Amino acid sequence: MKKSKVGLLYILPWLIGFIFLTAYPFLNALVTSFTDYNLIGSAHFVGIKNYLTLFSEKDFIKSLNNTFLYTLLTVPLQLAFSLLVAFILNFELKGIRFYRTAYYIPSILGGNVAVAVLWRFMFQQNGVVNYILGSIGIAPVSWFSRPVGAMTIVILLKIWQFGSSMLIFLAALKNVPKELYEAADVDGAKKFRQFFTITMPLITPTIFFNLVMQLNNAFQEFNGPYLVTGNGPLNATYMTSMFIYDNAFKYYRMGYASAASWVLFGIIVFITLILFGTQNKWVFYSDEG
Amino acid sequence: MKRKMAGLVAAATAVSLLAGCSTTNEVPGTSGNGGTQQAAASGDGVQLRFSWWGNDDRHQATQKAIDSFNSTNTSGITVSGEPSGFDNLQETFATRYVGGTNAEVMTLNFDWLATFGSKGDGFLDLSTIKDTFDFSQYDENFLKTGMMKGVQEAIPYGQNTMGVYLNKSAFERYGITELPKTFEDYEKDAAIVTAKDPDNYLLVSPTIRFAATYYLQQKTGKGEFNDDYTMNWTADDYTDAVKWYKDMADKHVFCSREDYVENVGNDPVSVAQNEKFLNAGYLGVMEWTGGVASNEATLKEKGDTLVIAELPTIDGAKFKGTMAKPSLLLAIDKNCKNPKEAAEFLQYILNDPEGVKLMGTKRGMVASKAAQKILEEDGQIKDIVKDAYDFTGKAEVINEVAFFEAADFNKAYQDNYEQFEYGQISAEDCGKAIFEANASALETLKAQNQ
Repeated sequence: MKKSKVGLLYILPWLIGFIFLTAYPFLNALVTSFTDYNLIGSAHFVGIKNYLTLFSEKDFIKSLNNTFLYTLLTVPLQLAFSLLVAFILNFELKGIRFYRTAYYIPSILGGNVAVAVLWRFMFQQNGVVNYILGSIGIAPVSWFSRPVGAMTIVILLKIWQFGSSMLIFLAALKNVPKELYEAADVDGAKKFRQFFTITMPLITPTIFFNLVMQLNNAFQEFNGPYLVTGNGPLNATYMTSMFIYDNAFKYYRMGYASAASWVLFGIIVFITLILFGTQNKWVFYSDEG
Repeated sequence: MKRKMAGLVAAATAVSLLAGCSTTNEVPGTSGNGGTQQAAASGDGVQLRFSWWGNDDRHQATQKAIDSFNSTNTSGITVSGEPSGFDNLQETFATRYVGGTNAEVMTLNFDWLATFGSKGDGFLDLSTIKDTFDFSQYDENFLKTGMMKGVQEAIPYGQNTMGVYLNKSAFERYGITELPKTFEDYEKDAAIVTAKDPDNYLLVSPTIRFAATYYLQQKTGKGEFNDDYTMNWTADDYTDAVKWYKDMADKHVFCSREDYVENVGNDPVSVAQNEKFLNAGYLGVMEWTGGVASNEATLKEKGDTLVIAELPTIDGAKFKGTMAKPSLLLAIDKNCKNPKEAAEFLQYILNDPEGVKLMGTKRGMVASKAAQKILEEDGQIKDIVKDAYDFTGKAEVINEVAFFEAADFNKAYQDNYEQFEYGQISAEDCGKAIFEANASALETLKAQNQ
C-alpha cells in the first residue's frame, strides 16, 4: 500500500467524524436556514426571510451586543492574564512544574455543571466573594440579579480558564533566545524595557494565534453563561449561541436558529479576516529576516 | 495482507461509528428479524427504557419499582431507568424525540403531547394495548386529556392542581400561629416577617406566570386560552396582573423576579432543594400539587412542617378556585417493537399493587382508582399527601389547555415582567407585550398543530 493511502487510513476515523459530524451539519444548517423547519413538520423554502427577521428581533440584537461586549472584554483580559502567568512560570522556581499543572486545571474543567455549581456558591449573597468584599468593608453585591454583576461573573469564569493560552505563551517564551537578554543586560536595558522590546515582538506570532483562537471561542461561548447565570437579568448574559440553542430546541425554530448560526459564523469569519489583514503591521515572524 | 488489514480496520471503524448512532431496544443476542420476533412473542430478552424527571425521592422510588418489575415479571422483560432533573427537560425531550433516541416508555409534559402528538400520530395508539393495560381504572373524561384527534396517545398519571403550601414551622417562629387565608392576611404576615428579616418572602413560585394566571382566572372567571387557540384575556388584563404581582412582590408576599434570579436562577425549577427555601427565606410555595411531596420531604429533613394552605381569593373574584392540568403523562414510542411488554410495565407501575406501592406518592395525585385504593390501604396517603388529595378533590378548578405550558408563553411573561420590575418598561407596555407575544405564539402553534 502506498504511504499516502496508509496515511489516509490513519486519519479515516477523524475524517468520517468530520464529514458526518461537522461538514454535513454545517452545510445542512445553511440549507435549513432558508426554510421554516421546526423539528415537527416538514420544511418549506422561505428564502431569506429568516435572515431578515433576525435583524428586527430585539433578542437577537441583544444577544449580539452581549457577545461583542463579552468578546471585547474577555479576549484582551485573558490574553494579558495568561501572558502574565506564563511569564512568571517561565522563571526557574522551586516546584514550578506543579504550578504549571495547577494553573492548567481550570481549562480542563471548563464550563461544566460542577464548575457552575461552584461559581454559584462563590458568588451567592453569602458566598465567599461577598465575604471577602465584606472583610474589606464593601457591602455584599447581588451578583446574579444585576446585569453588570452577572456579566462580570461570566467574564471572570472565562478569564479563569486561561490555561491553554498560558501553555502556548510559555512555549513561546521559552523559545526566545537567551543571548538577546544577555546582550540587552550588557547594554543596560531594564527588565521592563527588555520585555517590551525583545520578548513581545518575538512572541507576536503566538499572541496572534492566541488572539484568533480566543476570539473564535469567545464569540461561540455557551457553557459558562448558560450554566452559571442563564440568560441573566434582563438577558444581560444572553449570548448569540444561547439564542441559537433556544430557538432550535426550546421554540423548535430550527430554520431560524440555523440562519442565526450562519450570521454568527459570518461575523467570526469577517473579524478573523480583518485580523489576518492587520498581522503584517504587528506580527513578526522569525523567517521574515 | 496489508490491504485486508486496512479493509478490516476501516470496516470496524465504520461499524463502530454507525453502531453509536443506532437505536435498539433489544438486548444483545436478540438482534435481527428472527431474534426480534421471537423475543417479542415471548417477551423474553426484551429490553425497554423508561424516562422520567424529578427530585431524588422520585428517582429512588421509581428505581425500586423498576428493579422489582425486572425481578418479578415472568415475561423476562428488563427495564432500565432514564432519570433526569428538572433542567432542560423540553430541549432534551425534543432532541431525543426528533432524533429517535427517546425511551420506549416515556414521561411527557402536557404541552409536549400537544406539540408532538397533536395529529394523533406522535405516540403509540394506546387502544392497541387495552388487552394488557387496564384502562377501566381511569375516569373516562380524565383519560381524554391524553387523547389527541380521538387517539389515546398517553395516560395521565394524575391531576396537578395549583396550590399554596406554607412552612408552618417558619410562620410560628415569627409568632404567626394562624396561617394566612386571604391576600390581606398575607400582606400583614409579610410585614411581620420582613420587619425581622427584610430579604424574606412569603411565597416563591417557579414562574410569575403561575401567580398571574391564578389572579386573572379569578378576575375573569376564564382560563387563559381555549382549545381553538383563541385568547380569553386582553392586554389590559395582563397589565392588571403584572401590576398586582409587582405590588405583592414589593410587599414581600410573592418573591420578586430580582430575588428569584439571585437565589434560584433564571428558569422555572422546583425549589424543593433550594437553599433559601430550605432555610425558610421563602416561607411557602405556589406550585403544582405534583411537587408537594418533594417540598415536604426536604423541609422535613430540616425539621420544618409544610402544610397546604387555603386558597386566597382576590377582591371581586368571578371565580374562587385555581388551575389544573393532567400531570406527567405516560406514553409509548410509536415505533416501539414491544408495545405489549411496554404496556405490561405501565400496568405494573400504574395499577399493580406491588408496583404502585413502590412508586408511592412521589409523583403527586394518582388518577388510577386501583392505585389510589392500594396507596390508601398501604398507609401512603397520609400527612401532606392526603391533604393534597383532599385539596384536589375539593378545589374548584379551570383545566388548562394542553399547550398552556409551551415555552413561548413562559418567555413572554418572564422577559416582559422582568423588564417591568427592573423599571425598563411601564406596566401597560408590559401587559401589551405579553398579550402580543402570546397572540403571536398561538398563531404559530395553530398553524403547526392543525
